[in-house]
Amino acid sequence: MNRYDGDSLKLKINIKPKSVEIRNLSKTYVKHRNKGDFNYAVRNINLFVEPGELVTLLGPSGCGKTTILRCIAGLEELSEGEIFIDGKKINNLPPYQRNLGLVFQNYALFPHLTVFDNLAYSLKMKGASKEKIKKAVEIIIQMLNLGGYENRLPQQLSGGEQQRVALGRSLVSEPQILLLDEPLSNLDAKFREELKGELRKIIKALGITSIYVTHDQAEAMSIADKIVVMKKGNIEQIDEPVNIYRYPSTEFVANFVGKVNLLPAKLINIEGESILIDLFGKEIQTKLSSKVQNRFAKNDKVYIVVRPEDFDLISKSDNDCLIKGRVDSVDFQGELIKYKIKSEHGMILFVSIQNKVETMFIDESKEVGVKFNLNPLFLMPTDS
Amino acid sequence: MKNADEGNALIFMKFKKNLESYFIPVGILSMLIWIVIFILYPYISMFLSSIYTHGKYTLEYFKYLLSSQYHFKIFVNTLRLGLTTASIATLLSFLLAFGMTQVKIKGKNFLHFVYLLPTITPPFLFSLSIIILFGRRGIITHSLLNLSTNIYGYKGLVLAQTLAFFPFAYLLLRSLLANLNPSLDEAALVLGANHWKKFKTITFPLMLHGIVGAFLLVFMFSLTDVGNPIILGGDYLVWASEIYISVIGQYNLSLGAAMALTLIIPITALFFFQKYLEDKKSFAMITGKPSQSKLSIETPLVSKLFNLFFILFAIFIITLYLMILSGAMTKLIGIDYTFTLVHFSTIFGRASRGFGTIKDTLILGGIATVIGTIFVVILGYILVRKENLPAKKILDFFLTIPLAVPGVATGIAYAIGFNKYPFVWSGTAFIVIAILAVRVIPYGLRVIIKGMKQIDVSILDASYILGANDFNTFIKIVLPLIKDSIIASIIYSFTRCITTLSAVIFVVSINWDLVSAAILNKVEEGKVGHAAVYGVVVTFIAIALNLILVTYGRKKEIEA
Repeated sequence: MNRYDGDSLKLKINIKPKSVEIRNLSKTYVKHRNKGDFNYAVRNINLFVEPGELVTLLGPSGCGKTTILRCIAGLEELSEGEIFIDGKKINNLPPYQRNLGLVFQNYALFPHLTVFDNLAYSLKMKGASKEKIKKAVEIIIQMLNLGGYENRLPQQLSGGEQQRVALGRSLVSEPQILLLDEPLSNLDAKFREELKGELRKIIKALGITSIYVTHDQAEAMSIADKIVVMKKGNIEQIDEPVNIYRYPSTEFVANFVGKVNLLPAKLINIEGESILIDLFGKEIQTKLSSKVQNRFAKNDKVYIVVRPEDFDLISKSDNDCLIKGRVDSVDFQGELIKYKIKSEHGMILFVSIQNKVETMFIDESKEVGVKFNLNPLFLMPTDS
Repeated sequence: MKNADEGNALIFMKFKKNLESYFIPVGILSMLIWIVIFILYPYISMFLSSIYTHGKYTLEYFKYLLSSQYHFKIFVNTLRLGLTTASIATLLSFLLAFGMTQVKIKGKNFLHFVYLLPTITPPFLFSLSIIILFGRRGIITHSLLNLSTNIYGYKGLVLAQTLAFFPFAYLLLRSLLANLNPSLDEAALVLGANHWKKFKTITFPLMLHGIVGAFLLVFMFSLTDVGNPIILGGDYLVWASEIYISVIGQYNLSLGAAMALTLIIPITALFFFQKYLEDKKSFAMITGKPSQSKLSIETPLVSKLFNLFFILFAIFIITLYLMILSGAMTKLIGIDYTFTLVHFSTIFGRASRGFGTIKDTLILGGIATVIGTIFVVILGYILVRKENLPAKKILDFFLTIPLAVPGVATGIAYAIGFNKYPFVWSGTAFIVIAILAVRVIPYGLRVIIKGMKQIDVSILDASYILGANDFNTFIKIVLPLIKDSIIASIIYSFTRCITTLSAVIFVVSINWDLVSAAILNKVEEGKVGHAAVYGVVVTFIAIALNLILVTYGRKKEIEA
């Protein structure tokens, strides 16, 4: 079921991709007026979004991702900093002069207006002619498969339909960029899965520069060209989804985008990419991941970053065994078997094994050995 | 000996068991009896009285009302006053509600409290203030400006009614504005609407039903208002006060009944229409996660103008109250401004019934409140809990009638119905209590039902599964959980009991008098100072009670 017919639209709407640049953006809230006490919603944010790029702002609630979006839209005043679209400074313009598309979390469809009038709203406000409005709205209706819904009121639509109208409404006036504030969070899980791909498809087909706010790491991974991970008003890491997952730059990022094992280790020696490392008393000679070269020195305390699926369970007497332990609990999830292994040093390891026909199921409290690919190792400083 | 004890205990247990199992049926039955005697019977009596005179059935009075030039003029007057008052009050309320929700106002909570004061004091109290300020011997008109204006009549009534009834419209509009989904505003802005276009295309259309509702509310209040027209109307006669005059002045109960009936029909229809508008869940209300609300007006000049207006208006209202106080403590307003407590000593002296009146008011109001509260708590439980009770809607409808019907009509109905066999109760405390209770029950019921609906049904189910019956569940689970609603209902009901006028003016007597009726009498006797003393007392009690409620609510909020 393809709700978004992106290709046909591309022929009719031509949105010129534009860059977005945020420089030194800070937003403060007064805590105690008399004491001059401030709370930072976001602090000193710098971000460049390439023309046509789909970027997600990812982070837990209260991390400031929505604040950034609202600042771009003009719904919040900046405390400091500047915002540029296509090289032009926009942060002094009121929201209604910015020509941006914004999809609200709760859609914010005008309840007293029909689908057609909702879609037509922005062009009407801009004083477009009746024919132009009709033509533009029809393109959107066709693109989003909303034909037949024109005269319905928002409350007569399903959640998914409302979501499509909200998206359509933000696109009718051919906005400079598209902002999306958790656009899928009001839909149920199954539907959300489905729409995720379609949303990305249409955004990429339009080529419009988009900034997408979400707290759902899986959603961010599958939809974005680039992810901006945020924590407490600061940017933790900006990178492509794969790199965010494989090469998180901080413990927070590593944990936020999935389960992770951080094995405490010590660098005994380091020469270029070759390292000698002490893991639980075992000295291992191996190579350092090219992503983190030149960041460590001899005697540094580090974490070896291992995702649960990178572990393998073997016999504890196996030569490849790196850590010995005992199965603490097993969580059988069908395609995956998730183990918690308590190592002999008392650390809990998360291990995720792909369940194939030949996969052995290991019972609780059995003793096992754990191995993982050592070459190269991705390390993280312990103080991150 | 021991056996007898056990026997007694058994009998008691059995009695208790019986009581418990009959709890709901007995509750419903007493309610039906209540409805028949205190709601259906008096209104039917009034209806019969209007069509039955001199031993035969006749439509004489209705024909007379239709053909009488005099009454046509009154009808036009009434409409004119109602429309003007409703328009001005709605406009004023909208301004206040808009400012409160969209503009940064200093001292918002205090101003809000001041604006709501008129809802808890007698609705005709400001007529007294207006006479003191702008009357023939008014402080401003006579003593300061030495004008010879006449505030009695249309202009005075518009002023008095607007001030008395705007808070109801203000409350309605304010809650509507505060609950408008702020994302809609933001969506409009992002989609290219400036603030004015946004207001025109989004905010105003979404508020329209609320504005109409507010207008109708004030319109109804104006049409049914008796106190202000009697005190301040002068030659400007209106329907509701004319009812009073024909009953009290001309002893023509049947004409009064006919006039009351002609008022009941449109007012009751408007009431239910207005209720429909108000209950109509606005689809613009916040659903799911509320977004950050923002003040939309931040222009310094606009904000300053709003602040100035808000403060001036609050000062005006406070002044009106102070005028009552000054009226009570000044020898003769307009002539002799010497400070005196003589009005107090006269009212509360041996020769006057002042103390008695206040005591009566508190006692009768108190009893009516207690009866009404017990009634609404049990009824609320039955209505909320017994979802499938077939007569639920009908019960609710009948109990709401005394709220919809103008107080003056209910008053006549009681005066007629309870003055003959088998209910010869005129002049007794009983009739006063009954009319007060019947009028506060619909209010209390709303409050209690709202509280009860907040109790999770599964909590009650848990109680049943754990072995409690209806009665035990009600006592042990429901009552403690709705304690706050009960307190709110009690204070609300009691405040209304001690400030209401229109319904009680026909049932008070030498034996049992009420403050609001006493104020009216004193004004009619031309003793403004004495009236003001009663005004001060009733205002003081009402404000004190409601302050308790406000602080109690605050404390609750902080604890939560």
